[in-house]
Amino acid sequence: MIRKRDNAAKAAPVAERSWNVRDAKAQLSKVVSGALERPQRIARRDGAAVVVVSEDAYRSLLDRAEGEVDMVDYFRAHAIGGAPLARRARPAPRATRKLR
Amino acid sequence: MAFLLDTDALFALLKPEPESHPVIAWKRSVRNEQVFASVVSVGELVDAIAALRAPALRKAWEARLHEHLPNAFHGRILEVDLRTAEDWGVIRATRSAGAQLPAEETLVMASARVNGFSLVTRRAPHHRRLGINIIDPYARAGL
Repeated sequence: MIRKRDNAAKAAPVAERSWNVRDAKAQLSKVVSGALERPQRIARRDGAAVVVVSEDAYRSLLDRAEGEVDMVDYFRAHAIGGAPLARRARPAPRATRKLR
Repeated sequence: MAFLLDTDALFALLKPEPESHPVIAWKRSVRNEQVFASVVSVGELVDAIAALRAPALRKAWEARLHEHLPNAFHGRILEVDLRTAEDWGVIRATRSAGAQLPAEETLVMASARVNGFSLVTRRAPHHRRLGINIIDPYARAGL
């Protein structure tokens, strides 16, 4: 027995879903465009969040996570003002000691 | 490959100097684990800090000495052990080179030699005569 399709029953949800997809696509497009400029944070109501970043930024983060902070950057993060530290003048070497 | 910083090179890193400085540019080409310092240079650092007149500056450098330096060089500050002391004596006895140089300098040279490290320094002529592999970032930069 072939049943008649209940198009009316399915039409409403499909129409609603289509509207949501269109809206979601627009939102996603906005997020992607924004992420190419700077990281985009998307939070859920319960506070959980994801951050969308550009591929370049992601690879840079990976490199940093795998590697270490260069000691130059570490020292620069705690920069010291003033002139470079200088060694004090050192006295001339002593004459070689003799064994007696 | 491992590198031992001469005191001047260590000071340039600790400041740190601008990115265009030869020592900084050289450091960017190697990993932290490859870079060592000597307790002799730490002694020279203490001496240089003691000469600073501005209290705020002295305090900042003391933080560098007690906190940042050990963090950055964790386990990579070479002590002057028996082998190094013996080699220092050999270098000092080399009248054509070692006997003319201050003790601080020859101790760092001995540390590099006994450990098989390349020495990062600007003063190359004496060192090369003593069979120490030299990395001179200044010469590389054409300075």
